[in-house]
Amino acid sequence: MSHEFVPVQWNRQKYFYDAILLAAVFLFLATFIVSGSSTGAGNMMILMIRSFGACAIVLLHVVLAIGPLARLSDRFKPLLYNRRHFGVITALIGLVHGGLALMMYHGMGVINPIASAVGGYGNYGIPIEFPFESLGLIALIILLIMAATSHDFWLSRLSPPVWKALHMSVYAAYALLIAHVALGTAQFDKGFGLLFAIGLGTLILTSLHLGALLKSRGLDAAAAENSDWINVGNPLSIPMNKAVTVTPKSGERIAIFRQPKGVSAIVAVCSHQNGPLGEGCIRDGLITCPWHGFQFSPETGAAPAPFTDRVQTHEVKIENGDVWVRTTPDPLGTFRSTVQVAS
Amino acid sequence: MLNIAQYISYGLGIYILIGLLFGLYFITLGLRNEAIAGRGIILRFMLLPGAILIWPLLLLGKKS
Repeated sequence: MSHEFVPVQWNRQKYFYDAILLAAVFLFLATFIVSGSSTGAGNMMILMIRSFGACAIVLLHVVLAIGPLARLSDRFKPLLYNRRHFGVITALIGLVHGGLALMMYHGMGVINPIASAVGGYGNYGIPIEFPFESLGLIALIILLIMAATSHDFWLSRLSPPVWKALHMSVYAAYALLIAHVALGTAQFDKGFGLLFAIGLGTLILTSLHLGALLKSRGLDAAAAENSDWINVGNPLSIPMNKAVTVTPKSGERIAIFRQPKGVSAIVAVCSHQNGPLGEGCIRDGLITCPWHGFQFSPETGAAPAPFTDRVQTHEVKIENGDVWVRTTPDPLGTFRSTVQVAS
Repeated sequence: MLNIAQYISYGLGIYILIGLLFGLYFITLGLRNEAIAGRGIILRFMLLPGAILIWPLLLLGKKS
């Protein structure tokens, strides 16, 4: 292990994950096209454009739902670890949709297809005539930039804050795509089914994000009681060999781990590539990062020899049956004994 | 509006063209001092789309 960039190794789980994802995508596309052609919903080209577009928007909803779902329940964390694969496939499916639409509707004229899609028809001043394809184009560019920079190399190269800011633009892409679909439906389909589905998807996503936010706020609420200590609650509420994460008013998030010999706390950010240590687990007595498997001692925050990576520890105490964690991190390398929990 | 759209599309084309030239430089000579130097050619080509799309950021030297 080192602080430098280390490519993620592929393993059986990742291949399995991608195989299922691709199979689901093909199943969706095939079902859409077959059912569309059997009901006479359009020619093959139109059905392909619509199927890829629908697939991309469904995948984007799934991508955006994974984060809050993983915060609400541990069962969804395996999806979180490989979320980038979803994102890359979403962008590629969107690219096929955009490419086919440009060919079909703008590829046969004298004007270049992108100029035709952006300014060749409609009126930007009138909602019902708004050239909705321009919104899809901007969203597609955002998704492609995110997919192209999803590799860990870019996280390391750009620095985590810049990379994170870049990838938060997925919400702008989502808003643009919702407007793209809504305007397209209103202008051409004249049906309310798709509009209803998009509205429902947006409602579910918003609810999930609000639910995750409220859960996080609930854990963090105790921080207001004492500025230097946070009440984490009953130690038995922390899953065995796992952690809960709390956010102090200032500074990095703190991961409080429970193992058979007690509880301990470290900064929840992996020193390798800022992975979410609080979503990791204790393996072989060591805190293990879910991203690349980097390990740290719960007592010292140090990686096992001969590696030299370290994260800061936090002081932990038990008062009146509750776990409290000090918000100020210890200097690097500080030893903190695991605090025993009365069973 | 069509004129503006054409300028936008030309701008996009020029941006991608510069990105392609920069990206090819980046994955061949630009990675010499990186931790990735010496690694496989497939990994380098995986980085090419990113270099093409965010070349201004790379030129500004946003290195951690």
